[in-house]
Amino acid sequence: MRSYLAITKALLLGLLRDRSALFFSLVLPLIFLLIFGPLFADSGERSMATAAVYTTAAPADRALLENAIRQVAGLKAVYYDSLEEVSYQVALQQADFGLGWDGSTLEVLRNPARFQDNEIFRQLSEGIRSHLDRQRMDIREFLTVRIVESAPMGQAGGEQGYMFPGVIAVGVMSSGLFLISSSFLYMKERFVLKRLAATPMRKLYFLAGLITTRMALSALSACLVLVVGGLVLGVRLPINWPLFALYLVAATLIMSGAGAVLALVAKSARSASEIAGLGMTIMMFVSGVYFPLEFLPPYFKAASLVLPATYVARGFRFVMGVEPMPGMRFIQETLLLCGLALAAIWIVAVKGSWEAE
Amino acid sequence: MRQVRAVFRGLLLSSLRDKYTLFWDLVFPIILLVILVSIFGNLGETLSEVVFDVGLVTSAPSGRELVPIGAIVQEAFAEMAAAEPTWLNLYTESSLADELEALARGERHAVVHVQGTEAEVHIRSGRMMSEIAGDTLAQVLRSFNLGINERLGLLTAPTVRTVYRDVDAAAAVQGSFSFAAYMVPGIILMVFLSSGLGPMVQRLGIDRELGRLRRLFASPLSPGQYFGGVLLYILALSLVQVGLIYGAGALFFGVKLKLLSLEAVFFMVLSLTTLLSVGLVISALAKTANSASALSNALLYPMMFLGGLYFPVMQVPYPLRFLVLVNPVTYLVNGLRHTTGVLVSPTPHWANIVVPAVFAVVCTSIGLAKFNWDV
Repeated sequence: MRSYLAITKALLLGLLRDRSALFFSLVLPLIFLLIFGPLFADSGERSMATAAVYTTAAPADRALLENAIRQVAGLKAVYYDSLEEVSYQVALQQADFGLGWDGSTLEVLRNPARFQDNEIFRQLSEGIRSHLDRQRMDIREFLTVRIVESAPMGQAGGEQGYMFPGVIAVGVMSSGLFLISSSFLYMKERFVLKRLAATPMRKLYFLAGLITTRMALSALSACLVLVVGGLVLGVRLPINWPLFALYLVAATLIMSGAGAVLALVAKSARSASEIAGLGMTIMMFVSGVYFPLEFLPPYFKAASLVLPATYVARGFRFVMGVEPMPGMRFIQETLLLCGLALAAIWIVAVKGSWEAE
Repeated sequence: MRQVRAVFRGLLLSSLRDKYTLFWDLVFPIILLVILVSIFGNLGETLSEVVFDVGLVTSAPSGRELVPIGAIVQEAFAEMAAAEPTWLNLYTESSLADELEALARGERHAVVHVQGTEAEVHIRSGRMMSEIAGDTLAQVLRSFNLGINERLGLLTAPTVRTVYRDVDAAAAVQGSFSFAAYMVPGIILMVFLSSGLGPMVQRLGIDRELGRLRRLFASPLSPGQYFGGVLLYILALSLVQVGLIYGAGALFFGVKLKLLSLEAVFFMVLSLTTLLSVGLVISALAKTANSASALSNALLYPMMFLGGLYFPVMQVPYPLRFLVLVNPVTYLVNGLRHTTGVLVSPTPHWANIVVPAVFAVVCTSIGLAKFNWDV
């Protein structure tokens, strides 16, 4: 136990001096959080949308449009003298979308480059159309429609809620994936492990110390993201704290196992580290870390099934109360992945040679 | 000139021998282009193929309703679920409590409950697909009102027609907007950003830290000649990268851009100059290779994501918009997209030139004044 504590302390100090590891595990997730948090904010949290409007309608119909626009929340209208001018403003992104109104048809002009916002503008336009119809005719409302959001413990929902566990998963992925694929193999190549093997310390203690340092890094990264996310972005999630703490450990182990698998195929520490870097980039896009898997084309969806980050990101969404899943399935998935990770780490770091080839 | 060529040759050979550098410089941008265009270029098509699991519960009518809304909704939803292809997988047999539990377990995207003249669409907050399903279902349900009014002959005038049209945001190379064409200049700027802030900054830091630069300048090689060689190497690398990225865009996605127009070439040169000058400042201010690497990474990602390389950023809320507006990459990518015919620039053309040029002059001046050859 004493040797475990001593090696853990030494490795922890080494890790604290490694600015690159600290940057990728602590700073990068925060940068992503602060960039993507406001970007992924729901339409209601965004600044007001601006519509450029041109109308050839009679004064009475023009008044109907002005009234309809006033009734749509979060929308500001700027009037222009021609549809070309409206089109130009939309093309230049000076207006979010354009409206042309002749008293019977509402022409909606959209900028295709605003691909992530156009659905919101379509909903706003449909709202205006609905108000116009109601004003023009006495349309009877046979059915009132209401969206009821179930938000456990007052959770902040929307895309921000989805992204938050993803950012934590990225920090854990980074600290776990590079453990065996980079740190362990570098120590092996530099004969550090060979010298350690000559001491009375058992391999398992060293390995446990190495994994403990990365778990500490994962925990620190998650804490930073939670604190900054709460303070700066006001994100509140119904986190199951004991399960979250346990999963943080399990997820670091799973990603360390993934790093060990990379170490099995790589010829050197550098190649393992480079493959891990590429794998990390691919997993960020193809594992549902920042957006749901349903957004992916079928071939990427199929690829996501074999990527550990898919399960780690989903696990974090589950323990943070964002995405429900059957509890038994969560336990089975986590145990299976931890088992595989331990086996991979055992093969590479315990059964494998500690001497550089 | 011979010395410049020697430095260039040395850098080129060292890059060619390093398969990892070759991979990140030449292959990775293409992989990223393919991934981003495959995901976001077809997002509408991908989402249109999603089938939502929806629970429908209709409470028995009270008898006071003029129209049996519950029955109409049930019939219409059953028709939509039976259509080929469908977007709706309907569950109608369970109670509201069971359906809401299924929603909580993640087995339903949404649950619709129709009671009398009220319809509630239950969704799970924070689950993106549930929110999309909720919006779609609410829209379908609201359209029933108009349909019933029409069926009962209550409409006194034709309803308002909405027509959607995309403005000509493309400066008309292909006639219409293409996400792949949008991404190609973004990826080109990404590799320039990496050239400016990436490995060269680290290499310069390491060479200085290990005393290699000092030893180098003890030889007849002058700092100017050394930098000339480095710039020549970056220029050659950038030419190859631009060719490969454009080739991949054309080959995989049929992208055609006015990349060789004088304005586009000017913007690429301006981009490279500006971003190299930022790299120079980092090299000048950082005392060690490690801190140079940390500083360049800390700048690289915000400049990349808040520069609009991958998605539009001009409408982000404050204070993030401030960072977008002071980021030279924003203007460079807008200028490059405009001049290659991808998109009308949302920033004034003069700003696309002046802001990066000011950055280049200021950064170069600071960089040259502060740069030390020795640690």
